[in-house]
Amino acid sequence: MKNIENQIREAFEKLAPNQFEALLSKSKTEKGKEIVMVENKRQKNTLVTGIMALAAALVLFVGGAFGTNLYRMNYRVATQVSLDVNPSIAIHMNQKEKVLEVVPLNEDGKKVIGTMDFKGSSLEVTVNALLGSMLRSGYLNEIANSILVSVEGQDTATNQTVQQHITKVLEEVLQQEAFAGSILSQTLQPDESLQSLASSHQMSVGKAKMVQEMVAGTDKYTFEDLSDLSIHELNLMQQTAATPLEKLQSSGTASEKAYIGEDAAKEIVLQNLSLTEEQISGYHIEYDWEKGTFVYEMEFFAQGVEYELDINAATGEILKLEKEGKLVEKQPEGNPVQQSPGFLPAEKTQPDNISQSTAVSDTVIGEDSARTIALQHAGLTENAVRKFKCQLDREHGRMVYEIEFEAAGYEYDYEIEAKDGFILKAEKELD
Amino acid sequence: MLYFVSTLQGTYHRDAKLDMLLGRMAQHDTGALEAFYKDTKGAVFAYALSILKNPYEAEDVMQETYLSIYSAAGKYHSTGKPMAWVITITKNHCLQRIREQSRFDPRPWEELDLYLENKETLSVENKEVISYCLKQLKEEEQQILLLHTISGMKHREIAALMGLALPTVLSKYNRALKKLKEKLRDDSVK
Repeated sequence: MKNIENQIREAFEKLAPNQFEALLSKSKTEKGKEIVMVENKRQKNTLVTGIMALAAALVLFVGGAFGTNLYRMNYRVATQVSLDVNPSIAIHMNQKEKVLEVVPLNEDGKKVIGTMDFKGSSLEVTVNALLGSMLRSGYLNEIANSILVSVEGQDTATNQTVQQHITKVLEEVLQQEAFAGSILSQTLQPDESLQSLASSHQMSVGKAKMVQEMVAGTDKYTFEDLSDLSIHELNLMQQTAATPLEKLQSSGTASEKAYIGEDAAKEIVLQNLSLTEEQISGYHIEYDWEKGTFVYEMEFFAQGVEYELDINAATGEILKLEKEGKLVEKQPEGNPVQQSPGFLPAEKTQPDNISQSTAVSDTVIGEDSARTIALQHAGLTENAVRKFKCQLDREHGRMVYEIEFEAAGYEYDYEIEAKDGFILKAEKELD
Repeated sequence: MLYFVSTLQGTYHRDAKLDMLLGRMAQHDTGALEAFYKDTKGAVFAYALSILKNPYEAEDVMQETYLSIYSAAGKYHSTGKPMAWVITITKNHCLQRIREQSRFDPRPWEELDLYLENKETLSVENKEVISYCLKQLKEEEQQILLLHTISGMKHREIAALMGLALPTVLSKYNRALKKLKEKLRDDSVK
């Protein structure tokens, strides 16, 4: 007979279901869900209480002159480290680089910390766990790969040591990821006015400092304008700016994967203006923040004319075109037919939510034809239809007419390809 | 005696491996999670089953447990006892589930037979062992026996987990093992 213990093991190993695939997909949707250590806590607490009692006894025993020093070494915040990605988190440490407290500075920071408790942990463990949590929750990834580390304390030498230490820890963790990170770091002296500025904007002193410096050299934007940006966006801006921030140490470059890229932006512009690479000179491009949109700001000369453009960095839409200082804003939406290269109409329009075709436009069949196609498909006449709505929109990279109407108690919903009248979607629903 | 030494070493190696896998899981290595899952699921499932007495509930808790383990892997500080950590998490999830169900299942093991029947990979002998362990042994004996044999947890660790004295755990373990041996021998005589 087989060994009985092996028999038990074999039976139960076979009994346990293999649901790894399900687990894997669930682990992706339930990232960051924290564990509830119900039973263990009680045991831990007694242990902690024991240690605390012992520590207290020790303090009493050592007593007197040493006591104050010991207190200072152990419980006073000597250095404050802050991590900003979009989550902002402050880590308070004592002189021995043991963590006293980890404080979320904004809502995202709260999510990252979750129920983790770092009291007494080493800085390394804490930074590791926080970074891990940010990666799991998707705050740091291929598209947004920048993190700002700020070390604030009285002692410059300590600040620098801590700065190097953390940067190294972060680099090590990020090395294991499939993407390259960009780490910005700085050391700061305590500054009360900066502190209050930071806390009123739910950010760390470090981020406040960075924003302050970026605003200092320009009157283009204020502190408020930039305070909502993530570190990644700020990093992109400072990286391409004419005067990068000197006080920041940086490693790696900010990822531009969320944006179309400088080359693509240039191509779009050249195509739209019917210009060639050879015709332009004095070309300059940088990231900028305009009225809540991340844009490429582009400048160049061509055929004796000075051009200045803003291009939506994510979509490639041309938001602003200035020629020789004369403002020519983009045309109203819904009529790309009229858009001929080089002559954007000078009408003023509200910026709206429809993103425009960026390349030279396709021809479209027109609203009337679209309406005829939809009605024919529905088997209805003009007169039978109520509440007719037709809108030209961009869907999944192509121009479509979105048509809605009601007839005989039904609601109809169509999507018709704008260039050839192909019916992409037809829905009929009881009203 | 030789066998004893080899299991001890096996346990030792396995703990080191699980520690290593947890380290990689903290870096969101799903490959490590898979290996970890395969190595530990037998014990997690058996333990959850022993507490909840319903295979479907145990399946659910098993998934919850691994999600917790995966997201908390970064918090695991190697103590050389990864299995004790895993089982503690399993236990917490089981207790939480019992608390959440206001009505306690009045008929434990009701669904076990059908569940076993549907598991085609199990041999008749396997099913017999499982049924006996779960239905005939007392809950404490059962857990001690399963945790030690399947997960390789040391008696000392089991004693700490269950809040029992080490000698109690040892004697319960031996008694359970003896009962199971007798039962299987009786069956083979028949």
